[in-house]
Amino acid sequence: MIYAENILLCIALPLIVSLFFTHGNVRKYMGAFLIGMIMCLLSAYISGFVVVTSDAGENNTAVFLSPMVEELMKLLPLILFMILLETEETMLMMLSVAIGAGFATYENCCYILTSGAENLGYVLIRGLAVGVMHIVSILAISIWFSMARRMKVFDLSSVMVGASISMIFHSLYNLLVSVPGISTFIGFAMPLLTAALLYYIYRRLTGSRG
Amino acid sequence: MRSAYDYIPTAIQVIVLVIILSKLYRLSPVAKHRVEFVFYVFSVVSALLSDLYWLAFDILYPLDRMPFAANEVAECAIFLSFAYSIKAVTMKMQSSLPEGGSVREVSLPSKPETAGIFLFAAANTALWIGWSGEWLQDIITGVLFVYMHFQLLRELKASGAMSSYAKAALAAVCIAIISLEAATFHVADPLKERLDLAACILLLAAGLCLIISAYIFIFIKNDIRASIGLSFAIYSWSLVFLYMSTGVFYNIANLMGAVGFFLMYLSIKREVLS
Repeated sequence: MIYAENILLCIALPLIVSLFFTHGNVRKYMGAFLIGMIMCLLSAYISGFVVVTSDAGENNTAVFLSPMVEELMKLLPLILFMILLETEETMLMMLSVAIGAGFATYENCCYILTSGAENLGYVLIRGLAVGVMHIVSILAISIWFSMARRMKVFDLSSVMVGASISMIFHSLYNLLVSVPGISTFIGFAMPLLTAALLYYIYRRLTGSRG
Repeated sequence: MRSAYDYIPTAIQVIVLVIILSKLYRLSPVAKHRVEFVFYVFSVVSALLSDLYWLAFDILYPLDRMPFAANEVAECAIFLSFAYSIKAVTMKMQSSLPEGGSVREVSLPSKPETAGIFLFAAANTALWIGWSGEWLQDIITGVLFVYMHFQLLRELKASGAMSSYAKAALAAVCIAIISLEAATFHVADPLKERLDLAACILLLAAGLCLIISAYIFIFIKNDIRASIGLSFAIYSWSLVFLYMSTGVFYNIANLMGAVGFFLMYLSIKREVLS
């Protein structure tokens, strides 16, 4: 058993101290990174609750239900930034990357403490597949939210569309890697390929406004 | 182990959706500021991801029933996206009305029509719950189903796509289908199979009529407004068909959905370029 809260404190405290010595976009990025880590811990609590209260079982929860919980938790701070703070587009995308990176970093720390870091292949997969996947899913939502707000259609439907796309992307990844075989390799390649596509779309969007 | 035949209709729908997405990408420089276009794109993306998820699950877990998963959320997003896309088209009508005219007054369904939509969607929801036992998911899906059909009815009324005879015939078919499927809970085989078969044949026949009507409005009459409403109606009918059928008819419903998506793309493209 790992002490997840202790791990979070160990990683987060230096970052919190660094907030006092940074300003501007760097401070905002660090803050969003910390929020991502906290959302990861809260997602773990909720997923654990689901395992205990439902008859889904640990494996089914991890494959089918956890992706929805995790994407929903990552989405909440993003909605907060959009509605309460009215964050502008470029900043929103930067903050979404920070939330995703914080979520992935803390999750990877916990997994490595559980499974060990001797296996380089496993470590690379955690970093390049799972880590990138968390960033890609939240960045895609932020791009969609920016478009919806620009077109003045940011409401429940837009939020549901964004949430569903990120949830099903994450669920598809978990489903593909849950069974050994060629599907696992497809799953591992999916986040990087999607990141490349997203980068292309992001460049087009920012270039078209230039 | 399932045969390759079982995967073909979903695979065809995936291929159709990918082709549509590539064409929508080419259309995006002209249409990216149009609300109906953007929501249609996202409904296509949601549908594609949902189909890919279904395919992956069927291949990796062939003997298991799909549990509650993200594809159910994607289906809800599809319903909402379609509803917003149709609503955007209906609201555009405002500029073409004479002074003092309101699109709400022109397009709002009558009380019997509204009641009919609610009852039809509620009956569908009750049937889904009866078959699956998943009452919470089905109720949530049912609420969004009602909203999508309400917006669809508004657009069909505003565009004049269906005559009063066609509406009456569709209402009769809906009542017949619900009655036949509800009866299957109270009878035993082989009568149960025959009732189910009769319902599926009615669903198929009505779907084909909608496809033929949409084809006429798109390619012969060149009526963009009517073709949008009818093409969306084909997809929503294919969903009703899909959720009520199994086996061969389930595959036919999937193919009907692919046809609906393609006709929706043609209609939206003409609407955007007009």
